[in-house]
Amino acid sequence: MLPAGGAYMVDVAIVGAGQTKYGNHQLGMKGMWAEAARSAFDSVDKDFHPKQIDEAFIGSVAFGGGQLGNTAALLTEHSGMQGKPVRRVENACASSGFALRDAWMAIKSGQADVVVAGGIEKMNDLTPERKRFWLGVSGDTEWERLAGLTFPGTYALMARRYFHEFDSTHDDLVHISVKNHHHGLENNVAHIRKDVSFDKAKSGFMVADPLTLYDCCPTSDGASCVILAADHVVKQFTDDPVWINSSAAASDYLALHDRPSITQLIATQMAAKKAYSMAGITAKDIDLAEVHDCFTIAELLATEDLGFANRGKAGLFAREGRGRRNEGDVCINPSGGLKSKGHPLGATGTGQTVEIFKQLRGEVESVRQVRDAEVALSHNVGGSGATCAVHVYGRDK
Amino acid sequence: MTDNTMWQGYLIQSNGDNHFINSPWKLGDECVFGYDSDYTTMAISLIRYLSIEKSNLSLSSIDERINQQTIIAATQIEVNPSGYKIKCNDDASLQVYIGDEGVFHLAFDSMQDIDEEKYSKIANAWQNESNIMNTSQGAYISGQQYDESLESRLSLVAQNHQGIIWPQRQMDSEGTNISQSYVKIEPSGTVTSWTKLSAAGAPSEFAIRAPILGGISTVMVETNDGPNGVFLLVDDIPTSPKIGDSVDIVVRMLYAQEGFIRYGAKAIITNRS
Repeated sequence: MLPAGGAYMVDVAIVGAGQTKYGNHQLGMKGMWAEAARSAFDSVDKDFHPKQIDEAFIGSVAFGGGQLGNTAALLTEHSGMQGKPVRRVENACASSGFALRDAWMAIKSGQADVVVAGGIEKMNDLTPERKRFWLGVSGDTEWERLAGLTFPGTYALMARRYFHEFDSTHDDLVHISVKNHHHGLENNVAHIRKDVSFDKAKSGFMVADPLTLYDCCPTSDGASCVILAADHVVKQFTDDPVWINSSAAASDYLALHDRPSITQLIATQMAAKKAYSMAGITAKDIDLAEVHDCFTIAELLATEDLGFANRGKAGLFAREGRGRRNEGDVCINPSGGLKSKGHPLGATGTGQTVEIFKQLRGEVESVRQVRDAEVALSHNVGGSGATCAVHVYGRDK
Repeated sequence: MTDNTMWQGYLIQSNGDNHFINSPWKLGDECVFGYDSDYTTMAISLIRYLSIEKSNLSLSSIDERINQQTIIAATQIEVNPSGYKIKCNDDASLQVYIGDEGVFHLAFDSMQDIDEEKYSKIANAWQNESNIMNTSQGAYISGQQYDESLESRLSLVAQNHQGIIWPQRQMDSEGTNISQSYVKIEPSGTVTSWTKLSAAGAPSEFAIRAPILGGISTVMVETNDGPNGVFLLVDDIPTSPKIGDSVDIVVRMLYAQEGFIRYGAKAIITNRS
């Protein structure tokens, strides 16, 4: 077995990245994917042609859009990649986080030099009734769903337990909501671009007590696409790559009731530990993090699980604004996160990578730029924490 | 004759080997079911009540209005000719007896008036849900999947494998198949977390009734035997749960789809009235 971290293998860089705007799209799946792919192709600094792609991994839950089987083949034929080995990757909301990891491993293994990782979800083309059947599909259907739970419910259970165990209240979640809405305000691809006051976020419609509407991400359509290249071919495409310095993932019990604790996500902790070790850094070295905040409590837990705050201290971290852009210790969710940017399930993971690629290259809207950003992290969670992929990125290898 | 005993949300009377259970709800002079109860859930409760005193209970006949698969899975009772008979009455009551049927009278003083409008809406909702045309539009629990875990779900049957495991698991972390050495979890525990879901936050299986009920409440429970579980609260006792509350786990109707009712475990808070 080769050493963990691929000490004797090639390094992997991102040479292009693009996405659609997230929101309620008029485009269908083919059009959205083509738009994301076009955006990624055009972002490559030097000449690039899809024929140069060796392999593609596309994350999707197949919520809507009508093409459940062979989704990747359909999409790639509409983006100049016909004939390439492709497949759909499904790990719930972490589908494209794992697609990215699969793409990274394909290059690390020496089997491919140029690989596409992407994701897509069409969510708003279903009738309200069908949409409601699909929400929660990635939780434990056999036990949790029969107990009336979809994800607002499972995350609400986590939130209430967290408030019980630690010095924290719902106000801490409101701070996260307000921050992420503010971060997403100037993001041209964000689904919800509006500032929200503390009072408004605090008094939102109760979805799953204690979580209100302002604690929940929207239901978004969207697609995202990144192009990875092996170190020996990077120069063909750019002189300004962003390196993926580590890729790690882990899993946990699907159902909350099988886990020893519901106030921490063990899969995140395991993946983060591996990712930091592989990259040779600690949480303190991270300048910005795209964190999976499908619900505000998810960001609060991730703040601890990723090591930005000690156990039980994430509420204080949020109250003190330590995740704010250019004000805190680390900028958490400069894109606005899932809360503001949106959450097209299968597209979210590589959508986080698109944001990081642009942030580290200084290409986002100037008001959103995280100053002096050198090292970044993405954290993509499937369901209520059953799967998790963490990646560390850097301007340097 | 014993007095009315409140048990798992129902009223029970006994006279020798004749036992009577009825819903605590009345509409005018009529005894009616609570929002998630039927003959099957009441029969399960009565059998469980009798099981406290009597071992080796068996049934010789089961009224056709009771779901036989469900009562057997929930109580693991055997069927043999010398066993008890279960007979449903025309109102929300039934008897379990050996020999001749007993004569019991509803204790109206111990019963409560049900909200007529809500009762009517819920009854209509169950009828709509139970229509065979009410089918899944996406993810759901198929009939086969529901059946596979029925015994574990209704009677809390667990595995004893380096500790009690519930819900049941196929292999352990060493890759060893977990033996079928079953134990039953005591159906009581403590609330460790809870939420109340608006109709918008609940799965669509509950979409018809959740708005009428004003949302549905789910609790996470640490059972007295150790394993954790998530359970809906029963629909007809609107209590706001708290962490630390004591609960009993009972059987109630969950929802109906594709023409049949899914039964499951729900929680009743026992330390507050």
